[in-house]
Amino acid sequence: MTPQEIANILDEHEKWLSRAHSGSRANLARANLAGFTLEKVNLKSAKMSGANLQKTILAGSNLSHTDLFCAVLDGADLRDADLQNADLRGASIRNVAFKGANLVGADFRGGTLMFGTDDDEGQRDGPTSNQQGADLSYSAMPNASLAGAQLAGANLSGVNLRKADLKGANLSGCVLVEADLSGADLQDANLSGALLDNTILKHANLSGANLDGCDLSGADVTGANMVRNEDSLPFEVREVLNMHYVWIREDGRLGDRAILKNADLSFIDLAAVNLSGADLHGANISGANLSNVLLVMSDLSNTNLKGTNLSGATLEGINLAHADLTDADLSHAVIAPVDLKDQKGQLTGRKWPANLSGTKLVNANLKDADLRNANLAGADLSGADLSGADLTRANLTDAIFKTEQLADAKTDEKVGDS
Amino acid sequence: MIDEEQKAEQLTKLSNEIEKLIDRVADDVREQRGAEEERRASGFVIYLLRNTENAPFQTLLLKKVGIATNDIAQTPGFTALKDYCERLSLQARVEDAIRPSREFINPCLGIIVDGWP
Repeated sequence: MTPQEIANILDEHEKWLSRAHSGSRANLARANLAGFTLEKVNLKSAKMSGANLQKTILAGSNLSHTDLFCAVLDGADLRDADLQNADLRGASIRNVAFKGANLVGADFRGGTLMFGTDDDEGQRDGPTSNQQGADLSYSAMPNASLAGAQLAGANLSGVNLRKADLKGANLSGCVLVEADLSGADLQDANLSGALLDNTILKHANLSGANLDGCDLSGADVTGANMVRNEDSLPFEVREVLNMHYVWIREDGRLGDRAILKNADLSFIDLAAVNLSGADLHGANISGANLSNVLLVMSDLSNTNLKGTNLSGATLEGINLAHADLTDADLSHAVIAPVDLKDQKGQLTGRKWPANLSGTKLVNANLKDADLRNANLAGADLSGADLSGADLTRANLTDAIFKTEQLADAKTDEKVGDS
Repeated sequence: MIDEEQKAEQLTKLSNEIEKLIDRVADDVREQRGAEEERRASGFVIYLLRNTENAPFQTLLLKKVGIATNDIAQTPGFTALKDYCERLSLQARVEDAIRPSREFINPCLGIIVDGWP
């Protein structure tokens, strides 16, 4: 195809797009456009299936609603291109520059390739390849708009997706090994079964994202917002929580106290919920939003509360023995003793202090927390922020902390390094 | 020079081969309704056509005898398959630029059946 032929096709296409009576839709199916510079061209709704666009410069071009089915885009420059609702199924998209591109609603799903007929021996071949999604490995997609994009099964290894908009995108089964998603917006995205090895998710927004079957142990989720709503919990867990809410509302006459021993409640959003009296022993509640929650007289011993937001929570009389609260936010939390009542609801005069013995509070934020009478024996407070915290009559026997940590805290007397 | 007789003969062969795909699509649709592990189709399916040596049909060989994708799309076999697919809310089209794997330098011929859930 000569440059003049391409220029003519583009002219005709522009006319067709402007709905003039002349002009025709660009048909560049299977055309070899490798290496051409087609910067800022308007190929909206063009037919480009199977086209060879290797190393083609399409920066700033309009390729929205374009048929790029099975096209080869390896090494192409698609920076700031508009690819909204483009059909990219089965396309080869390795090492492509997508910086600032608009890929909202683009379809990257894979398909199945197989022989249509049986062989001479009557044997039917299974699918031979291409069952997975598109191969976008090592492409550059920073700041790209991919909201609602269909990327199921795509190979996104090593892809730069920094600050990309992936709201509601389907990333199920994707390979995200060594991908950089720092600051990306993954709200309500489907990441079920995605491979997240050495994946960078620093400060990414994962709220409402489906992370079923994802192993996040090899991913960097520093500062990421990963809260999920209650609907994402298994039915049985939701039922237990519902019955607990009834139990609280009806003052124990109806419903049941929540017993969720060893349950997975990681990254759950239960802000301001009343879970008082619940048994959550050994549960994984890491990364959850429990701000302003009520957990009066609850059992959270041996729980994983790493990075959990418990700011402003009412934790009176709670059992947090041997729980891991590393990097947790307990600022303004009330971890004071609870006034015990008898069966008629009358105060007995007895107080039940919170149990934080052996609790790991490394780098926890305890600013302005009320820890009066709390049992912190053997607790690890290394690096914890205790400024403004009230530690009056708290038991700090064998607790690990430095004297200067207590400089701005309220204590009975000055306590030495432990 | 294009040998019209050879072209017609080749088109008839292809038409018959494509018509056989009706049974194949029917099987795949049935499997699609079954258990997940039995499903072959997903998204779109590329059905590669075979040559006499059971290998993928290279598009170049068709061009040598003057056959274009439009010619194939007008054969009775493809028309029957297209009609059958439409009844199943699927769309069939001829594709002559399929590369089954990186081992294949030349593009091959196949039928794409699109619209699988």
